[in-house]
Amino acid sequence: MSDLSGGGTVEEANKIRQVINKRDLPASVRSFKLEFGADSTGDPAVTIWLIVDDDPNPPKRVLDQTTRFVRETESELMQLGLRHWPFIRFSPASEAKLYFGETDAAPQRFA
Amino acid sequence: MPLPKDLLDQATRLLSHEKKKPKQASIRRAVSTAYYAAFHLLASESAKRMAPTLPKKLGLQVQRAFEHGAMKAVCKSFAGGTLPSFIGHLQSGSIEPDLQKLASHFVKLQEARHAADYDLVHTLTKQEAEDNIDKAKEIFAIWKTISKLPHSNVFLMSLALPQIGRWRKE
Repeated sequence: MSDLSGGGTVEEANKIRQVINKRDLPASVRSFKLEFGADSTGDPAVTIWLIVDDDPNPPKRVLDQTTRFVRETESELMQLGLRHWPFIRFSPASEAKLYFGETDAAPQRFA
Repeated sequence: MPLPKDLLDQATRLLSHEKKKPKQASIRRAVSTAYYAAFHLLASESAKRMAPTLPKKLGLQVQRAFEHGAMKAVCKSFAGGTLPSFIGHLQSGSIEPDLQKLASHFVKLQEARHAADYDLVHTLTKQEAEDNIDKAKEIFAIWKTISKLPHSNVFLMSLALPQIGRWRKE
């Protein structure tokens, strides 16, 4: 039964949050937001928006760190067998407030 | 495989084209190009196994029959580690984790391509482009190591002929 907008469930959202919250967010990621809905072909999907610093050209170290985080998170999310297929996307912080309002988690950061 | 590899290289170049602030056009084309690199890699590998070498361009003609939506449905199934019961008899043991990862990356790249080409509401960041190019590179690297597996043969034939597993077409 869906109890979140976009057809998501609290249970699914909590599972996703657990996977993300147990990791340190990369330095460039401030927080995240979940958005349930459909993908481009209408299949159930959940987009995990990573809210990132407004840096148009982050250094390679930051890019590598973020890519590693995404890869590990995606891998674990796939193991959950969620009904909504998980996609991870990025949103610059300056736009995030406009689209998402308050985001889901207080940031955990490492240097 | 000159075209798929050239597309992959081009995606990387597009992202480093502007040194200080990459243009949205460059970032979006980089993501789109990364997807098509993966698409053409899998389509050409599949056609290579299906089509006789003569006439010379038969394989290229076969590649035109691939459908993005159907390929996505097949990839979702492989990424989840299970095949439809209709072709379950072709599965021997678990689907290899690397094949699952490749299939999962393909689904994500396809969605990223769609966002890059059509979703102009959200600014596409360099991180997102980098992440997707990295996925495409992983697909190429993984494919080198799994291309001869029996399950990879089933995978390639399913991409070309999704009817064999009764995958739905989009």
